[in-house]
Amino acid sequence: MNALIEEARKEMIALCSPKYTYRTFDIEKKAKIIKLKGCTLQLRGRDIEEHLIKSDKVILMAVTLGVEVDRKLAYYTRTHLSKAVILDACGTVLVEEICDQLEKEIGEIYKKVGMHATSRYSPGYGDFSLAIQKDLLMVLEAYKKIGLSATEESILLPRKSVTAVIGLQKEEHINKKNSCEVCTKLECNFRRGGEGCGQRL
Amino acid sequence: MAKDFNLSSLLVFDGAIGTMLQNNGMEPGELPESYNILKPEVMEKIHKEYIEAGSDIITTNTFGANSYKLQPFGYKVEDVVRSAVETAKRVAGDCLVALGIGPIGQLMEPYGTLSFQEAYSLFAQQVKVGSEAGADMILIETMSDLLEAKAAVLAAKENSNLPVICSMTFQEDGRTLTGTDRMTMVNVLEGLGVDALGINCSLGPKEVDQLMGDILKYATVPIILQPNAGMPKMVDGETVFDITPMEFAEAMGKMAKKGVNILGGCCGTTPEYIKALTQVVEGSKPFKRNPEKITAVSSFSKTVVLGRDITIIGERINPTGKKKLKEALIKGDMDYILKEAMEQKNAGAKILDVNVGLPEIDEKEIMVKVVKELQSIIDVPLQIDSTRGDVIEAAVRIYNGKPMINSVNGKMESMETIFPIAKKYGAVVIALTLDENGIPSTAEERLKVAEKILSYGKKYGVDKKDIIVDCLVLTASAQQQEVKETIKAIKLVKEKLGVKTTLGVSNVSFGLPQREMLNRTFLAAALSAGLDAPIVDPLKEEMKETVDTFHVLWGHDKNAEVYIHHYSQQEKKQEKGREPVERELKGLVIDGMKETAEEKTRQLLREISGLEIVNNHLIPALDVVGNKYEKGEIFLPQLIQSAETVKKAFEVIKHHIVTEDLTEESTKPHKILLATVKGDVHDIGKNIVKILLENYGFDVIDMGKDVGIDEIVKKVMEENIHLIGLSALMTTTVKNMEETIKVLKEKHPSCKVMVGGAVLTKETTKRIGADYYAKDAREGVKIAQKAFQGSSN
Repeated sequence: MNALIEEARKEMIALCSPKYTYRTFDIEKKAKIIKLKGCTLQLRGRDIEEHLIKSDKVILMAVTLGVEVDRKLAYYTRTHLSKAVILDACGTVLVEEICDQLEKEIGEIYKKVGMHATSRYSPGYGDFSLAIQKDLLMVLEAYKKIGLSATEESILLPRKSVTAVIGLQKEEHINKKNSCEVCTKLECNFRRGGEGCGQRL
Repeated sequence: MAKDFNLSSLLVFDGAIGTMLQNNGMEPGELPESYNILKPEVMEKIHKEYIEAGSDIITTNTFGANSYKLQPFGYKVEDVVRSAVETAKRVAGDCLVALGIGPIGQLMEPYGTLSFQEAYSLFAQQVKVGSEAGADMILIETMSDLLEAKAAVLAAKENSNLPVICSMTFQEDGRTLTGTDRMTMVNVLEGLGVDALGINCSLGPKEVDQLMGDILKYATVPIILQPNAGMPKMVDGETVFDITPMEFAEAMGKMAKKGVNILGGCCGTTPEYIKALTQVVEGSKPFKRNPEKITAVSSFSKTVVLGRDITIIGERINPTGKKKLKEALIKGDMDYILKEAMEQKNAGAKILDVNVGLPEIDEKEIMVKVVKELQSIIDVPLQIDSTRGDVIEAAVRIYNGKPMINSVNGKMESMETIFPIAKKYGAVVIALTLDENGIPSTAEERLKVAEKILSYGKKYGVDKKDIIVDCLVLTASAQQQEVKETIKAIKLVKEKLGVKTTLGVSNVSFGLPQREMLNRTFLAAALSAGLDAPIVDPLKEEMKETVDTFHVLWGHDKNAEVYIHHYSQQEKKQEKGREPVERELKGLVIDGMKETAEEKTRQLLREISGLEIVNNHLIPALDVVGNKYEKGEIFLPQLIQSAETVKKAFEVIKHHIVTEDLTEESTKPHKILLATVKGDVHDIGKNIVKILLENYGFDVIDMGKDVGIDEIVKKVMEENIHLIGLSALMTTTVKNMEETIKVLKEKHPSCKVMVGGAVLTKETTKRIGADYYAKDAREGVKIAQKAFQGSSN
């Protein structure tokens, strides 16, 4: 099993072609709505408001591992299911790692100009609605730039992709981790400390 | 009145529209195409600036003017496209106006949810309005999905008479985001009859230089190049491009000298870039290239050129005389067909023949389904094999690449049906040397039929490079004298007509013992006569071996590298031999040791019945694994590995009991339908449930992912299903699950519904009206067992 995991890990690294794009906006907060200046997007929800409470700029970011990953997953789903499941997990870990790295880079860039970056916050976290995906991608021209799209149901495709919002602020960000303890989705199946997280299908 | 122009002359396009709109105040997230309605004066100004800079052709601001993108903003394609073309025409003067069409912005099936037909309809709408409004040509650009490009080209050609240019966007590795290489693009788009093709967007002109080689080498139509103003760079959270107008123009001038004749710019380029470009190329004549003509078929990511070495065409996907494949086709078991395809690919097949002709099924529907399925999983080009023109056309239309058609023959009716299809979709077609008078007995007469077919092909616009002649094999048992006529005919046809050849080799031995020996010798003779693409069963060692050895002897396999690599390993394998497996089958299943378990099953079958193996070894092992999983002692991948091991053992048992069907030996298994609901494309979970249910003897009908409500209900009624499993991964698709259940309960109330998926909970299950909540695959099995408990079979 360990050999299979190692094989899948290597294969994922070889077959993915990570791409990202991001863009910075000044923001304006009005009546619980965060408006991005110079663009048409608005962020809504108690949790994103809380996350950006001290921010006066935001960065919209989008990352994808590319469609080749989807293709290989489809292939192994039909030919070697256990490997497909492992590869799928590898993809999830990898895309998050790339986000971590990008988040770090962005943090360093803005540190130089005296700004502090918050951790990233993605649609679907807490009450920050997934429905924003399509508009967010349009603002970033993500389909043209990195081939990332969202369906009518706000599912990101290719599958191993992430969009997120990072706040920029003068004060140091006290990094409340994006962990399950602070999430307001109490009924979530994947809530850590709840039953069975990480073992579900 | 249409303007007179020639796409083979040196032409300068305009630069970016998006960049210019941003320079004129457009904000991110705004719809660029809205400017056609709200601020046509801005568009006029931009067009004018490009015309003054020297553009011969300007592009309308319609890149994303499809109803999918416009609808959320409340605009209509009719208004936006018409206004865009009219605005461009108002200022165009002598300049030509190209209707710009970009990608829809959605991933296509099977990885996304956009179907070929939907994409086609969206493009067709743009084309109709644009050509009516007076555009001079259609420019399909920035495509990264070859199938989407095909939908757009077909929409353009079927809904207007305008010239069509198509260009795609590539990454530095020379492939599009969805994996298409440049040679494949050329092979497929030329086949579809575009008037010019090339690259746009992608990279800067210097980087793109590296990618133009294959296009310059193979394209027989004019070439377009519209790169970005250098490579994109992130500065202060904004994208900027890094080269000056002069650098851009000089790099483009070099490309013109190599044979690119339609030049322009994409992202980041402005009238300044076009002005510099015009100055550099002014007065020069297009460079005359000498492209190489090839006979080649393509999948979306791979092009197979015939005649460079021997191309094996795998013949196994054909139900004639194959009981299991027949059953799979009738049942719609795509996994079985996929397995046949994979095995042939692994055995060295470079092209796969696909024939699903069975009286019991709707051949057209199944052919389309099989082609879609195969092209989503494997990258081997396909050969569409049917006696019906409508089946062939339906399949080549949705095929992602340049297909092969099997076949046309010298009968008038056949040529009149097949050639128009081959021409329209750019297929390579196999020509059988027979006509109204049957198969001629001499080689000379078969040559005559081939000549006739070629000349008719020419009439329909099918070049002889796209025709492969099959001189037909007669059986040595019945027509011994004529066997060598085939060999003679291959030689003749190649010499006199200069075409590539194919042959269904194994017919020769029909009715005789030890067919392998005859096949092998006949194949060798045909190969040395010049056969390019034998149609054979690649799983038959003697066929593969003959081709491999031929490659060595004819110098195709340089230094016998492939041969040595493959056959020295085989020696080692043979030395190892097969040892009896000492371990118990149960332990092998628990440890997930697939190959050993297969071998052990074979051994056990010599002693006990298949049913005993299932009941006394496999099922108990599965129970152990399931319990361990429940207790958290093992994890999901291990559970699945055991399930896959059981599946392998099952296959061995099924194979063993050829006559007495396992399922009939016991009782008829209970049928369960599985589907991932409309809008959802995540189906790994569903597939895990499937394999476990199958392990426990249920007959699973898997409808796949993104399955519409009507389809599900129809199947439930048809098959009289009593238990269905639905999966959804996202909160956004649970509502589709709810709607599916609602309709199901109305139309077929006796069907119980179990649901599963990441976001589902017991509460949601109740709320959406499902009967059971399966938190995992193991639970799914228990639910199924409970649901059918006590029910008679």
